[in-house]
Amino acid sequence: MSTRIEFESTKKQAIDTARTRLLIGGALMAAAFFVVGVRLFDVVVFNANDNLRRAAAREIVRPSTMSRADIVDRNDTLLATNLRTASLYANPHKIAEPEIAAARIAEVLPDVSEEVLAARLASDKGFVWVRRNLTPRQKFEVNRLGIPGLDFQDEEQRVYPHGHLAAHIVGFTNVDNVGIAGVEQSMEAAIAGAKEPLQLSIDVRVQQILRQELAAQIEKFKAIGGGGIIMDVRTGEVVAMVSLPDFDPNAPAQAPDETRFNRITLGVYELGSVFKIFNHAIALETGAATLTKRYDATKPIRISRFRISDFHPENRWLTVPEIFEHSSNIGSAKMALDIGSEAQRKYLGHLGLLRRTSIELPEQAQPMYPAHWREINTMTIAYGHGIAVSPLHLASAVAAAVNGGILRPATLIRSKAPETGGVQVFSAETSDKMRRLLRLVVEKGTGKNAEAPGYLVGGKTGTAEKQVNGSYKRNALISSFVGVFPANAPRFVIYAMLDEPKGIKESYGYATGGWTAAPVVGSVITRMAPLFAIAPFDEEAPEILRALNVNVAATPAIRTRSDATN
Amino acid sequence: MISRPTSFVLMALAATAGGALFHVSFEVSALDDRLATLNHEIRDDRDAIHVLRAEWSFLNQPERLEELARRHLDLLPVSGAQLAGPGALPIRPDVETPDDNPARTVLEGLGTAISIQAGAPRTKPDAPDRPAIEIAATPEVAPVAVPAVASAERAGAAGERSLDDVLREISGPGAPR
Repeated sequence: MSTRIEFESTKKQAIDTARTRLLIGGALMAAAFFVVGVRLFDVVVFNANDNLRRAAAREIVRPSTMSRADIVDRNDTLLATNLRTASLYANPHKIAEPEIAAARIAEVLPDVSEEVLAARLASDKGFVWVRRNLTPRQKFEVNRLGIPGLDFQDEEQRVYPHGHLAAHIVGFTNVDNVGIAGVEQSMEAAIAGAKEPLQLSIDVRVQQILRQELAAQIEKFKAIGGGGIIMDVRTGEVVAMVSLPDFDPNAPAQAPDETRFNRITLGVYELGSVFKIFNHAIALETGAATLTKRYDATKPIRISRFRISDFHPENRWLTVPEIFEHSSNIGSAKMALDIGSEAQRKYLGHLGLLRRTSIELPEQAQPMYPAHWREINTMTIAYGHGIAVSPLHLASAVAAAVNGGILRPATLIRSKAPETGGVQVFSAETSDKMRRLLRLVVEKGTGKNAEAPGYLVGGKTGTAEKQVNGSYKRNALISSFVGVFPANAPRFVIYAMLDEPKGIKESYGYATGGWTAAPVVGSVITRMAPLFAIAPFDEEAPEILRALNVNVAATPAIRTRSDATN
Repeated sequence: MISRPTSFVLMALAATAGGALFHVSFEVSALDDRLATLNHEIRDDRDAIHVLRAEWSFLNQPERLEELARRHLDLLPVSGAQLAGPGALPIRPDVETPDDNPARTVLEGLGTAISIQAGAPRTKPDAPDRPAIEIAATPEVAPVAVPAVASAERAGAAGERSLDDVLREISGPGAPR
C-alpha cells in the first residue's frame, strides 16, 4: 500500500513536473509568437510608409552603364561617345577542327589572318582573343557560323563620329577608355562615370568652315601647316579651333606625331606685327601716346647689333594710326620706348601673355620671353619679336583689347551662365580706339584681303620670320592675321596662321599675313556670320561711320573721311 | 480546450494565408522575371539608340552634308544678305481685304515684333472657329491703317475698338468686360 501510494505520488509528481515544463514551454512559445506578432504589426502597420518609400527608391530600371559620358558641341552634335562592342574569344580546348574554324571565321572577319588564327586555335591555351571590338553585324555573322568554343566578351569602345574635325580639341582615350589627350584627358573627372554629356563651346559647322578655308590656303601657298581659332569676345568661349595637319582620333596610334601637335595651344611662336595691337593699346592706355602723336619713321633704327626697319617703308613721319595702318616697326619701337619696359611688361602680364592659359586642354605651352627685359627687348616686343606665345594667348588678349578691355579666360566648355568675371585690363575708351584702328587696317592698310562686305572686319596682319637655331630664317615665315567682327561691337575674334607659306604668282611672290592668312579670315567671316544670324551692316550708315571713324585732325587722308561723314 | 469549429476556422485561415503567401510570392517572382526581361530589352534598345545617334552624327559630318547638298540640291548656303531683322520689314500696305483680321494688324502694329530670324510663325489671317473672325466680318470695323501705333491711338480716339476690346473678344464672351 505504502509503495503504491508512493508510486502514485511519484507519478503525480512526474505529471506535475511535466505540466510545469509544458507550461513554461508553452509560455515561451506564446511569448515568441507574441514578439513575432508585435514585430509583424510594427512592420506592416507602423512602418508601412517607410517600406513603401524603400520600395519606391529601389532602382527598377537600371541606368545606362557606359563608362564614359558623351561629349557634344554647343548644338548637341555628338563628338565622342561610347559604343558597346563585343570582342570575340575562343577556348581552343573546345574547338575540334582549328583549320576549318579559322577558315570560316576569316571568311566573316576578313581582317583576321587565317593562318595565324588557325595556329592560335590549335594552341594549348584555354583562352585566346580572336578579334576585339566587333560590329553588331559581325557579331551576328559569327554567331551564325555556330562554331562551339567561341564566345563574346562585352566591351566598350570610344568612337568619334566627326573624326578629324575636332581631333585636337576632343582628344582621345587609350584602350582602357582613359583620356590621354585633349578634353578627354583634362576633363576626365567630368567624363568618366558621368551620365550627363559634357557640352563644349565649339560649333562643328564653324569648325568645318575654318578647317576648310585653312586647308585650301595651306594647299595654295604650299605651307607646312596652319592653325586657326575663333573665340567669342564676350565670354571667352572658343567656337572653333583648328590645327592642320590633323589626325583621326579613332585611330590616333596610326597618326604621325606631328599631326597630333596642336599649333594653337601647344605651339609658341614669335607672332610678329599682330603684337602691335597690344603695343598701341598699352600706349593709348598709359597715355604714352595719343592718336594725334607723330613719330619719325624716316629711317631704320640702329641699336647695338640690330637694325629695325619697316617692311612697307613710308620714310616719313607717321601718326599713331598710320603706324598701325602701315604696320611700321620703327614707329612701334619708338612708341614702346615711350611706354617703357616696366609698363610694357606689366600690361603684357595682365593680358595673360606671360603665363599659361587656363584652357581645358593638357596640351599647353608656357610663353617664352626675355628674362631680362632690356630696352632692345622692349623695342622688338613692340612688333612681336623676342616674345613667343601661343595663338590662343594672342586670341584671348586681342579679345580683351576689343571687348571693352576685359580679359576673360579662354574656355572650351559651354557655360550656361551669362558672362561674368574677367579682369579689366584696358579702359573702355582705349578698347573703343583699338576697334577703330583695327578697322582702319582692313579698310585701308595691310589687311584689305580680310574684308567681308558688310561685316566691318577689323584686324591686324602679322608676318614673322621663324627662328631656327638662334637666327632668323628669311624664307620660313609664320604669317598670320587676327580679325575681329563686327568692328563696331565685336562678337568674335578670328585668328588664322600659316606655317612657312611660299609666295605665289597670284600674291606677287609675297607670303605675308596680309596675302595668306587674311583671306582665310575674310571668307570664314562671310560664311559663319549667317550661322549666328549676324546680318551685314550698312557701312555708310552714319552711326557705323561714327563708331569706326579714326578722328585725327592732323591726317589729311582721314580728315577727308570724317568730312564724308558730315 | 479549443472547440472543434474554432480550430477548423483557424486551419482554414492558416491555409488561406499560406495560399495567399505563395500566390504573392510567385507573382513577385514572375514580375521580377518580367522586370529583368524588360531591363534587358531597355538596355538593348538604349544601346541601339546609342549606335544610331553615333551613326546620325557620323552621317551629319558637315563636310559630307556639304558634298551631298552640292550634288543633290539647288540650294546654296544662306548668305548674310538674305538675313533681315524686324526693322527691315516693309510697311504694311493699307489695303482693304475682306478677310483681313484687324486684331492681327493691331497686334503687329503695337510692336508685337515678328522676328523672322526667330522663325516665329505668323498667325493665319483666316483661322476658322476663332472669335476673331467675327470682328473681321463686322462691317463697321475698318481695317486699321499702318503705321499702326498711330492707328491704334486713332482707333481709341475714334471710339472704335481698342486693343483691350479686341483681346477681350478673343478671350471669349465669358470674359469680364
